[in-house]
Amino acid sequence: MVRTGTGTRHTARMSVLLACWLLGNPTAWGDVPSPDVLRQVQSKVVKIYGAGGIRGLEPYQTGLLISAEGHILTVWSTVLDTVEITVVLDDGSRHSATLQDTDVSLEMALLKIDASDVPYFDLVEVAEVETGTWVLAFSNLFGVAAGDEPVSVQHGCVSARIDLDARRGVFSTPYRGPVYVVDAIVNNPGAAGGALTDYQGRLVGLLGKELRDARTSLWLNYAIPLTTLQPTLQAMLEGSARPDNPFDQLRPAEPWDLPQTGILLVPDVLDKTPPFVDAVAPESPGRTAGLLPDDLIVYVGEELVTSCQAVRESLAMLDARQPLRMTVMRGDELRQYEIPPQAENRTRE
Amino acid sequence: MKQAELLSRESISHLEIDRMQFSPNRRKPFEIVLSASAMHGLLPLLAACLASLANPLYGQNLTPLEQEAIRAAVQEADASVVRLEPVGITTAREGVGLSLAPSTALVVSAEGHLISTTFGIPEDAGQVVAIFADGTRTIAAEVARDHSRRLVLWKTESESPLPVLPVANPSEVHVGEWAIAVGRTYSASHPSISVGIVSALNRVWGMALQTDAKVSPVNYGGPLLDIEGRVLGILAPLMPEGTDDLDAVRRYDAGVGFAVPMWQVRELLSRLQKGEDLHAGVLGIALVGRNPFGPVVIGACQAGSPAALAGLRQGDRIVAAEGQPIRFRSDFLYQLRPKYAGEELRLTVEREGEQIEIVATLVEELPPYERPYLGILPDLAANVESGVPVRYVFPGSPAQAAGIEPGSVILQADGQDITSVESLLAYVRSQWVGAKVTFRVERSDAESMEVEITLQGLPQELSLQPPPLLPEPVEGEAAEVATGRINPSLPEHPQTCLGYVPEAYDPRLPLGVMLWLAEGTSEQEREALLAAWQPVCDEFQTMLLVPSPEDGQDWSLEDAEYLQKLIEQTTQRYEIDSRRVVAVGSRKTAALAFRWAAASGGAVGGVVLLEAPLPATLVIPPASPESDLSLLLVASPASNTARPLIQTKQRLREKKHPVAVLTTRGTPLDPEEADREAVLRWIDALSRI
Repeated sequence: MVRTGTGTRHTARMSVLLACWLLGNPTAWGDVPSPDVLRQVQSKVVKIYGAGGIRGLEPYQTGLLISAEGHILTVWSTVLDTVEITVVLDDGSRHSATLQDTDVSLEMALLKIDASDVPYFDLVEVAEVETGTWVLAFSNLFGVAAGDEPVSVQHGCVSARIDLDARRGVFSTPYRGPVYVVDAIVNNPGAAGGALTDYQGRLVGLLGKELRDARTSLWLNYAIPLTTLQPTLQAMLEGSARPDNPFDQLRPAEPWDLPQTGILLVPDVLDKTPPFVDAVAPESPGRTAGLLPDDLIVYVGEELVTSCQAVRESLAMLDARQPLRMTVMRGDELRQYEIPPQAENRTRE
Repeated sequence: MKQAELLSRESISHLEIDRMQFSPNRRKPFEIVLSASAMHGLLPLLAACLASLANPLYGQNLTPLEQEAIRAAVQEADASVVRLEPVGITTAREGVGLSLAPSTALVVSAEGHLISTTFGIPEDAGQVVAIFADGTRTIAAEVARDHSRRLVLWKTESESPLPVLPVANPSEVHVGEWAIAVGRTYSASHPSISVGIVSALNRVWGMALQTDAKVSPVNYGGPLLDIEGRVLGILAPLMPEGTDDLDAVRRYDAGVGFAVPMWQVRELLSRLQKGEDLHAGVLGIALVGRNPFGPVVIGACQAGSPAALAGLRQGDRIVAAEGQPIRFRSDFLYQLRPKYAGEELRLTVEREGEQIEIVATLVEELPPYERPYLGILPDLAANVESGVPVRYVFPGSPAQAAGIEPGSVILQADGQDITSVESLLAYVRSQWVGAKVTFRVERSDAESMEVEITLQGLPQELSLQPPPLLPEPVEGEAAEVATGRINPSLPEHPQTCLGYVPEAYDPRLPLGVMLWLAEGTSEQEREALLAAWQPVCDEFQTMLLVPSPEDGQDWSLEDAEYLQKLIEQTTQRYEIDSRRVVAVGSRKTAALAFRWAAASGGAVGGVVLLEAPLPATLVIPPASPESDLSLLLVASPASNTARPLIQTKQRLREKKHPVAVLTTRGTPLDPEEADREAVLRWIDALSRI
């Protein structure tokens, strides 16, 4: 094929139009979502002003209208820690808001303004997205939008869907659950409570507060999936009993522990004693599986462990009704052993 | 075909069209959605539209096509992107914790070789575990390291052949095409991705591609893929002028990321697989000036360096390197920086109107620079038409052995006319210890002779030999600048300074400067200091400056800028002999005095430490032609043999800094008069050649 500069480009543009015409869809856009979609989403995103303004805490954040009557979903933060919460809608109208409900473990808050017939995100139409999907973020980051200015729109892709719980100690947040990590810098001051949507404008996630990775000092850009918040949110709206917090139940009813395996670790004398196996009881599940004294335990399940304490903690998170995978270093070799379930015969719900 | 396997089943229909019509260049259908500038033609678009017609999934727009392609590329790469977990390191640097943070590596051979970056993998990393997409864990053993491009080659034992991804064709890679950064640090089971475009080619002196996909510790070591899943490069913590991995990390959200081109990595593999560690090649020259668009002229050529051994000389203008014309400094860096130690660099230089071809073999590290020494003090005050008159000849020096006497005038070195102290100094510095130089010398008996002198290294205890002669004050008009007590101030700095200028100051005889970093001293104490040192300052034509820090109490690195400006201002007002400028530090200010002096770029010639060993954590830079510091350690008899002081002396001498020790009978902070004189005599001797 021959490149002929602008002529070709012109032809290419023409062909897009041709394609649109062929498809009989006048609103089809080449590689960006249509302005209509953006405007519709913006009209459902609000600016929230409350407490703060000292010690670098911004007195504003973002929120999402989720009912025609003016229910607003946002992130629980110090901004809401005041009796006077002001909400500014996309049309510039100002409303006084009341804090209706909060959920600390989900870091979520529900506000209500006196309104009727406002545009809102229909919670029935929330979307789940895969890694690599283009997404849009809508928020009042850095407070740049004032009055009736629409909130800012950012574009990025979903980098990963990760579990904050699986990264214990890495992020200091009460929220323990899945998040979408985004490759645009979306979690800025004021952005918390904003919307992450797909190209069709369907709500995907709620932008979280700023969060830093303790190991790398990098800021995490993320949103909490709406599907995670939905059951609690629905209960809040209906005033019904809230579902149990799914993250409270991460600890299994019958966890693994060292006595079950027959493994005895070296005395835990240091702050971070390396988890060397001191002894393995004869005939014990650990011995049968193949573990030996002087093995250095490196992984319990999927978790990297570097101290005796970490071994105990990791075991407590694993269900004794499931096989236990242990990876040890023996000399220069990495060896993996599986210890069969121990609690199997006792209880089964 | 690969692409068909690569994409999911739904998308096969349009791929079929793609293949029928547009093979072999099959990137086109995806490119059209990039931007107008990347659109190439009508046919691929029509193909996409037809595909959309054929498959209602794509009825809305073209976005799903690129989404699908991105997902497919990542899916294909998944099995080749490996997570590395160092098992049991606990190092942390400058607040950025590196402890146990996982990183990413890419499979580069079916036999189990992986490439990662050096980020978070110190050389003493200990055991590192590689975790594959399917959950397999195995030990990764380090094979070799490329310190220049910051890569590490690993070997893992694998029962089955590992999947190696195809490499992009360098001639097809262009700015604006999709670039997908893949890492495996968030989770062992799923890769993380960031999508951007190729922002530039040939960055970091030709060693990197630039992308606006987010490149950070999250994906260092992972691949940068094109839209068809071919590897463009290895994401790496590179920066054009960065010296440290962390320089790059600080920019992780700035829209600038780099990847070492995969075709370069592939060429390196055979060397790395042999266990050969690679280092950036060093030539050993300094260029004249800092103008990036000025001519590329050699300002200094370190003795014993590849440049010197190959015959490069001060004043040579580099006009070509590796056959490429060199106009600017950056042209030259593009040729030099990608080279490794042990490789050759072909240069064409212009010398006295002639073009000379030179081939230098680069090295990993230059031999420590040792300043060559003739053994004279020039007479700074003497008034001669040309040449350098000799004020003093050090006993046992090469100059003395050759019969040079006080009053002799050095006229030529190796046939070059010596017109000033600077020109003699520059010539001697361009030589090396052991070099033979023929000097033409005019003796006081008016007899001109040629002598061949073998230069020696600087003696350590230089100053404490029999006292050199003091310069005779020059008779003449009184200076027009302030002498006696002065209070220099800098308008933009709050720091204050007390000072003393010898009453007999004459601009024709340059002054030495003692810049005393007193700690927490009151006004009275500073006055007492000035009063005590005033007589010896008069005697040895040296100015004393006693500044106080910004907060009045403790010195900090922020004060270094003030010190630099203070010296600059002093040099503008008075004639100063920069080699006789010394910083004086005591316990709390020793580190600052040394760091500032070492970084002053030749504005400071010495450091006096008053019973103050240097902190063990302080990095001591090696002596270099641009900056060589002499040190005087003033100690009490008790501390003279103390371990920290001896260690400081050894560490400085290892880096070829001359160190003298003065044991004082008074206290080091307030030495007796004879010892004050000895300090000034040492400063006087810093103008030695």
